[in-house]
Amino acid sequence: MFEDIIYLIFQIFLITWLGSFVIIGIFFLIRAYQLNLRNLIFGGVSFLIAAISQVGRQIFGLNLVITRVLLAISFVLVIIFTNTTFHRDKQSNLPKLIIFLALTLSSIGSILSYLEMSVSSPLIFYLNVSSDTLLRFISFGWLAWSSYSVYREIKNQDLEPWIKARYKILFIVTFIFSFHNVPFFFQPWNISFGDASNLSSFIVFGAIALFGFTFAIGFSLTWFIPKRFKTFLNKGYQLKKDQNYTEEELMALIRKQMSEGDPNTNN
Amino acid sequence: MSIIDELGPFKPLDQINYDELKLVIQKTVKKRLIELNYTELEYTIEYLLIQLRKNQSLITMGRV
Repeated sequence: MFEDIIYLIFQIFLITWLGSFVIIGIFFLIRAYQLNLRNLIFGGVSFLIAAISQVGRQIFGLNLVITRVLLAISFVLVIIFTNTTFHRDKQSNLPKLIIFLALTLSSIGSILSYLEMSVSSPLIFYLNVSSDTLLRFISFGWLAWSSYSVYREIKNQDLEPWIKARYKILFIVTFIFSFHNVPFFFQPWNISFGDASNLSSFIVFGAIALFGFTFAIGFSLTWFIPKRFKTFLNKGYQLKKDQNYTEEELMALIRKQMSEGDPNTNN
Repeated sequence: MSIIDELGPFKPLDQINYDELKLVIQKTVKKRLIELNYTELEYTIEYLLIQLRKNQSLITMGRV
C-alpha cells in the first residue's frame, strides 16, 4: 500500500515533468513568433520532441531506437538554442565542438540502442546508458555554463534584478538537471524502467522522476516569473528612464565607456 | 535614430533581434558616425559589436 502511494507520487512527478515540457515548448514557440526570436524555435521544438518521445515510449511502446533518436534530436536542439541565444558570432570554437560531440554521442547512442534491442547484454545496456548520460550532461551542462558565464558578467551591472535572477535560476536548474540520467546506472539492465516490482528499478524511477519534477518547477519559474515575484526581486531598484541624448552626447558617452576599459571586450 | 533609419519607424523595439541590431550598428550607426566626422570610427563600431555579442542573451532573457 505504502509503496503504491510512493509510486503514484513518482508518476505524478513524471507527468508534471512531461507536462512542463509541453507547456514550455508551446510557450517558446508562441514567444518566438511574437518577439521575432528564432532561437526560441529551437528551444520550443526541443522540449516538444522530448515530451513526445517519452509519452510515445511510456504509453504507446515506441521502440528504443526511435525514442533515442527523438531524444537525441531534442538534446541537440537544446544545444543549438544555447548557441543561438548566448554564442552567436563568438570567436571561440567551443560551441561548434559541443555540437560535434553531441552529434557523435547521438550517433553512438542510436547504434547502441539498435544493438540493445537485438542483443540482450549488460555491456551494451550500460554503454548505452553512458552515452545517453553524457549527451544529456553536455546538452544541459552547456546551457548551465552559458547562463552562469553571463550571470558572472552582469551581476554587478545596472540591470533589473529579476533579469539577473532569471539567469541565476536558469544556471542552477539546468546544472542540476544535467545529472538527471546518472541514477540510470543503477537500473538493472534486464528490468524495464519504472518496474515497481524491482527495488532498484523503483528507486531509479523515483530519483529520475524527482530530478524531472525539480527541473519542471525550476525551469517553469525561470520563464514564467510571477509578477509579484518580479516586484519582490526588483524591490529597491530604481528603473532608469531612457534619456534623450544628442548624437554628440552619445558619442561622448561611448568614448567615455571605451576609455574606462572593459577587460572582457575580447570576444 | 539609427534603428528607425534601418528598420523604419513602426518596428516595435521589443521585436528587434540580434541580426537586426548588428545590421543597425554596421550600417546606419556607422553612416551617422561618418557624417559626424567621428575620428575613432572603426574602433567604436567594433566596440559596439563586441558589446552586442557579449550581451546578446539579454535580447532573449530580458524579453521572454
